[in-house]
Amino acid sequence: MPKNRVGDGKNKKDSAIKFATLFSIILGVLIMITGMIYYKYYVTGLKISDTEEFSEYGYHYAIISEEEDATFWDAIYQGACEKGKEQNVFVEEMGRNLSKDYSLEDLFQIAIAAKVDGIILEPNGGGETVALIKEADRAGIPVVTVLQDEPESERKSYIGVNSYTQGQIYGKEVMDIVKAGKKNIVLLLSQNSTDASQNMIYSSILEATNTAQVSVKSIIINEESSFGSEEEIRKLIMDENSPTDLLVCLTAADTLSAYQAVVDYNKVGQVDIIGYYDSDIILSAIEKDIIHSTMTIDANQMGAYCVEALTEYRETGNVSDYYSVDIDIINKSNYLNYLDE
Amino acid sequence: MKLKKKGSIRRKLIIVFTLSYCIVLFANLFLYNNINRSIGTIDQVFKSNAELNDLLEALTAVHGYVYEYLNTKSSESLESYYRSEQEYHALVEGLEGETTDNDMLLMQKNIKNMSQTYLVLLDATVDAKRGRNLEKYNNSYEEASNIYDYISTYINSLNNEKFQYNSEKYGLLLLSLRYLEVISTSFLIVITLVNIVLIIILTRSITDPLMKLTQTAYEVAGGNFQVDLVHVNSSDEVEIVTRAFNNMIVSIHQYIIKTKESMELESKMMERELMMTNHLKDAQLKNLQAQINPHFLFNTLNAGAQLAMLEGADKTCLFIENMANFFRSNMKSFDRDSTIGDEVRLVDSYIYILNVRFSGGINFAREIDESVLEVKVPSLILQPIVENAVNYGIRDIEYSGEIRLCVEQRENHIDIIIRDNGVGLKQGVSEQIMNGTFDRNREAQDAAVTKDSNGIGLNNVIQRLQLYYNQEGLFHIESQGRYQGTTVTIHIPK
Repeated sequence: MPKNRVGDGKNKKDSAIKFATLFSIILGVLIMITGMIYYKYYVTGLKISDTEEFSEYGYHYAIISEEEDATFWDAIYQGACEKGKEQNVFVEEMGRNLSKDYSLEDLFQIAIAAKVDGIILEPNGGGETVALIKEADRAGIPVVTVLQDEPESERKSYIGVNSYTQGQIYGKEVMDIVKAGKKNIVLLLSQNSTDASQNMIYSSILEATNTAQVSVKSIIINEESSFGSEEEIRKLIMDENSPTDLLVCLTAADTLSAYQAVVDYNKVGQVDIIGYYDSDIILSAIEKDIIHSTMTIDANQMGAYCVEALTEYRETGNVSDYYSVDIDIINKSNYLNYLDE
Repeated sequence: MKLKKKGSIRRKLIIVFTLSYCIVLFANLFLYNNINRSIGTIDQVFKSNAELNDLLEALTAVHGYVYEYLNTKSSESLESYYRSEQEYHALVEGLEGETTDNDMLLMQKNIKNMSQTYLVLLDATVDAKRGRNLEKYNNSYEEASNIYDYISTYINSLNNEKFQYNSEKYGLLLLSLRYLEVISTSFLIVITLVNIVLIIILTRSITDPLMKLTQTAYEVAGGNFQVDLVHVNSSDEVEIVTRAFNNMIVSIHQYIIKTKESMELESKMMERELMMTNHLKDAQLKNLQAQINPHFLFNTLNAGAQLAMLEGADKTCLFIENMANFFRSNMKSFDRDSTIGDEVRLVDSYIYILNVRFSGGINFAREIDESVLEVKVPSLILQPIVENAVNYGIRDIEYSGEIRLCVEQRENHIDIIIRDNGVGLKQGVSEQIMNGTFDRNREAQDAAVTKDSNGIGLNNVIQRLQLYYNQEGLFHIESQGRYQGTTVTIHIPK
């Protein structure tokens, strides 16, 4: 008789096939999902998503300047941007992404045509500025000036330093160096700054030094060409006929140029510098005694004030005429505080 | 046999292939979807540039027509101006107008606002031209031209920015496509491998039982019906075939067993018949050897009996009659069945003859159940036993010999018992007699043939009983010991 074995393996094998089928299907789905997730993750990592991340703002302010002093101006712009974010305002640096370099006036006109909600302007002392501010005002766009005032215009507020105070501080610093025996003092002025502030500083320095036997000259740096200031300063330092003992710079760019020239021509110790602004290079130059001291304005605060002023005007229709920004002097005794920042 | 739908091969195949192909299909869809999206993004890259170019062209057209109109004041140019202005306006409306911190979106906003300002100015210019206000339209055209210049610059710059941005994006897209390719390829490879494994498992589950079945079939074909029944671990068509196969094997096997049994039976029967014939022949031969005497004696005795009757010698006549009876029944009853009555009568005659010969030395007693006298039995089964009892039991004893014959009816059979009070049997002899291995028996038998026996030994009786009834153990002989006598019992089945 054929042997009839009791078989319970049947269900086992059937379920093994089921298990294998199920397992492979689950595996396939898992791999697919993993692949998808990995791909998505990777694609997200590449940031090629159709819409870029951005935030929307309620208001649009334009900030316009000729950016003579890029380092300093950047800080102002950063301050304005940060303050803007708090107040639902986006601050655009006009003309930044354009393929063409426009004049201050053109940029101003662009801002008006683009119907921004407010304009922060560093006037260049040009004649058209007043008319343009007027035009903006007519178009319902408030304008505040920063660093340089245009008091005769329709500007709503001015944010800057008190030139007289600044002059006094410069004068005090110059006197420190004069006491050390330096005699030939050169004040570097911007050519286009025919406004009052530079003159105010110049006269304050003269006033402070008039008791000492020193010569104070002011040199107008040619800024017609883009790299003019750097060349002028080099010429000045190399001038053997009328040697310079002390350079007083009113901009961050001039300070850097002067510093570089003094180092390049090995005039460290012979030519002293009183600078402007507190960039790292300037601070390290103070540490090395190449720059005697430097003036600094809280540029971030300045930018923030601009936005605040515009917002206040927009909301209330009124704003104070003048926001004063603090000036500090940095020298070897306190530069570390700034370096740490 | 009902097909279980659950695990049918078709269903298995359909499920496995459908699912695996679905996964592959899904993977491909995913792949193509992503490729399409990437291509769409690349399209978008160039589309946005193309749109900006359109915008710039429209702007140029507007400005050109205004210039033309201011120059010529032709109604055609005015119409063209209006048309192109509409066109430009529509394009400008499509630009983003929200203030965001995204450079390109902000530029769009600026372009949009400037364009609105520009269009207002153009309208004013055209109006002033119509009103022939030369100074006014000169001024506003100049202003509009400035703004036109700004807008152009903005559009160009935006175009540049976008192009730069898109170029970067394009590179990334290509990279992502490459990634997609790698991911998809490896995915497809893995899925294919998994599918292959799955298909191997599946086909194995289908073919393995078939192979097993084939192997078993070959074994069965080789004549081995002792194979294990095939057990298929699946619940599909193969299982059905296997079950059918198993049933077939069982049926064939049973059929073969039956055939074998019947053949065995047949051969057994043939063997029995052959043996019967053999014994019959044997008996007949012996009978023939003795035949000359019986016939002659029978006729002679009959004549003698008549003579004795004529002479009035009754005792002699009875004696001779008995002898004649004895020889007659001895002679004729070999080839046909006898009855218990005939057998008993034969024993009577034999005893009578012996008593005459040996002067009444044998005390013979009998207890017969009359109802069984007609029961058929093989012939010559009692007389040889009685002869045996006389020759080896009571012949040489000092005391008076006694033979007792009983025929008793039992429930299922009839017992014929022949008991003597003679010398009895040595221990073990009774078993040897019943086994047919008792040698002296044969010697005695041979001797008896030549002396006064009718030549039929116990062995012959035992074997004929067996063959006649096709049953063993019908003959039983026992003895209590020396001079304790012997008892022979024959069981006749009813």
